[in-house]
Amino acid sequence: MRKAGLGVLHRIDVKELAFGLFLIALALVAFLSTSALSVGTAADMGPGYVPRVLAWAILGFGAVFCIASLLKAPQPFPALAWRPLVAILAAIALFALLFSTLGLIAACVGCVLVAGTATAPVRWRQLALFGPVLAGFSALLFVKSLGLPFKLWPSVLAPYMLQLWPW
Amino acid sequence: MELFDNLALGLATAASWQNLLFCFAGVMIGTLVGVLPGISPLTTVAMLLPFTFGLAPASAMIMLAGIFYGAQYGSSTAAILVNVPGETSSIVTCIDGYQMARQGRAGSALAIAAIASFFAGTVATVVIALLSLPLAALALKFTAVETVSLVILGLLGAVVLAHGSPAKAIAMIVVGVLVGLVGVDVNSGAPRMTFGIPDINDGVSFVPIAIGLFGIAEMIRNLEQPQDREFAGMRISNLMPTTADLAAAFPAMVRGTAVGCVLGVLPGGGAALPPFSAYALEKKIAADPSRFGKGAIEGVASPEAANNAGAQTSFVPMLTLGLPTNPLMALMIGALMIQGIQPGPQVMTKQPELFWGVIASMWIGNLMLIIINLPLIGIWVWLLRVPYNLLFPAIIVFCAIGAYSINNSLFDLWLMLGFGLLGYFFLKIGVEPAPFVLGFILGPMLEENFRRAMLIASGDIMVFVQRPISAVLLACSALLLAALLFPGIRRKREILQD
Repeated sequence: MRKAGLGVLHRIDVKELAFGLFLIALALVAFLSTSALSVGTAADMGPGYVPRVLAWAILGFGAVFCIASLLKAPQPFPALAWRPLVAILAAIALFALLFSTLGLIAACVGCVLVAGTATAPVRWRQLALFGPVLAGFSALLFVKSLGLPFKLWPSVLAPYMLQLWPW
Repeated sequence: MELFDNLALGLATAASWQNLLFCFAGVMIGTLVGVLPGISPLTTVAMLLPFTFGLAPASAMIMLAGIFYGAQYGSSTAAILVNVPGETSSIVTCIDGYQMARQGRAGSALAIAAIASFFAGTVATVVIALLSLPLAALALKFTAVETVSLVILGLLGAVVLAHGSPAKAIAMIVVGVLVGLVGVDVNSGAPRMTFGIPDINDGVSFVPIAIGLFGIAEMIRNLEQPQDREFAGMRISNLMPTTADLAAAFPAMVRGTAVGCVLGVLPGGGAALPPFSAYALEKKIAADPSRFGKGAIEGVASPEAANNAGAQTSFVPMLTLGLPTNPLMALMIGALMIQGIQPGPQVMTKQPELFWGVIASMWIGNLMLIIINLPLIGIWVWLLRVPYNLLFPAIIVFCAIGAYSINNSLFDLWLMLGFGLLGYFFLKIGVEPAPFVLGFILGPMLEENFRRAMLIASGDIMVFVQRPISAVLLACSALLLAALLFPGIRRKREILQD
């Protein structure tokens, strides 16, 4: 079953299909989130008018790309480099989490350590040295010279779990 | 004579010690990121944009502009010495520049690249000054109707010159416009597509989007490939080009500058396309085309002049019409808005010292680049040895700090992460993110003017073809669309991009 399903993907332009599906999903989200807004008339447009028109256009594009993907010469979905993808995104996520809880220094050190795993031989010693150097540089540049109101160190008083999620 | 008054005002603004300092900082940072592969001027400008908030508008724009053209400069150094273009704009420079370096003429190639860039920068400064006045005067007559048509023309023009499939690019523009509309509707006060998240009530912020789509996504792609660099002609003796080299390079410089100025002003223009066209032109008119690819000096002079001229003249539509023609100009518009300045033709009349100061600073900046960079070449060469696996964690940290600082909002950090993932998806399926960014920046302006125009015309869409200027703009847009569908032009466009 599953194998047959994947077999279809080898006969179509998967890149184009992916873009078409992305557009259709986006259009649906747009329809859903503007459903409560008034559309108005062409002469007196409500807040929902233009978004709705755009969503229809995006839906149209999505449908065209999906159909075209079936007719075009087959193209496989390109290989994904999971290692750098996951490492970089995790490094940013860790930075966001640490920055709001433990402060800039910890965020820099943690971010460098995680980001460093993106390439094949992970040089832990190099990363462990570079993290604090970068943290010190950032603290000097952004907090001392530019005067940005960043928390540098974890404050003992504030519970760690505050503000883990931005809203 | 008004022109000279204006340039004098600009020079006076740009030559204040403070602005000289920011200009210097800009071109130095620009050269640095230009030399280093893997970090683009776009990411740099996006990262630094939040920190220009406290500067005077003119200083901020002068510094950010300096990063842009400074990067064209730096990337040619990397192209010639390491055969790795720092930016797309110097891919062509690799072909003959690296060959010159391997023949022991690295010094000559670097000097010619610097001189060509300076020459092009000087001419481009004058071209900008000459073009700006009539363009802004025309734009001041625009009502909502003409503005809508102009934005449509600008967006479609960007598609024609962009890479890849035009249909996908147009789809991306529409997506960009839609995302640009997220936030509280100005007319009715109703929140639109905000999903109850207060952080995007004023719209999704642009800086995290730009950093994610371009900076983060490209970083992930860079890391997919093993990093190997080979140095050639590392011993740079004699930075003075011979008279014969100069004589051969000069006509090529002039042609490259002309190509760059024309292509830079057009929608979709910038620093990437002109050098390709200039190189193709040189090869076509050369008496002996077989010399190209084997260290022909014209193959360095002409594209280098073209990319610098293109980088600078792409400021014309942004400064005079408020119309960004590439993602970097979209960021410049963002920088102006942070300063509380609505980009458009009124900038020139209301803020002449800002407008002319930025233009004059480009000439001063180019002069700085030629004076400072040639002696500093040793430092740039040394920087080329900085390993990418130390560079990219630092870039992530700076990107994150930049994205956070724009609104001091953690939400923007998650936004950057999300758009990084999205940008990687677009890269993988071969869809250019640039049209999205242009649509995003112009979306609110497009909707507001469209609604106003339709209100005035009481809902009659024909108003866009009844007004003469608007009709001409739309006719140009239709021609562009027709050109995209026309097989002959389409093929040429594809050849140019290869």
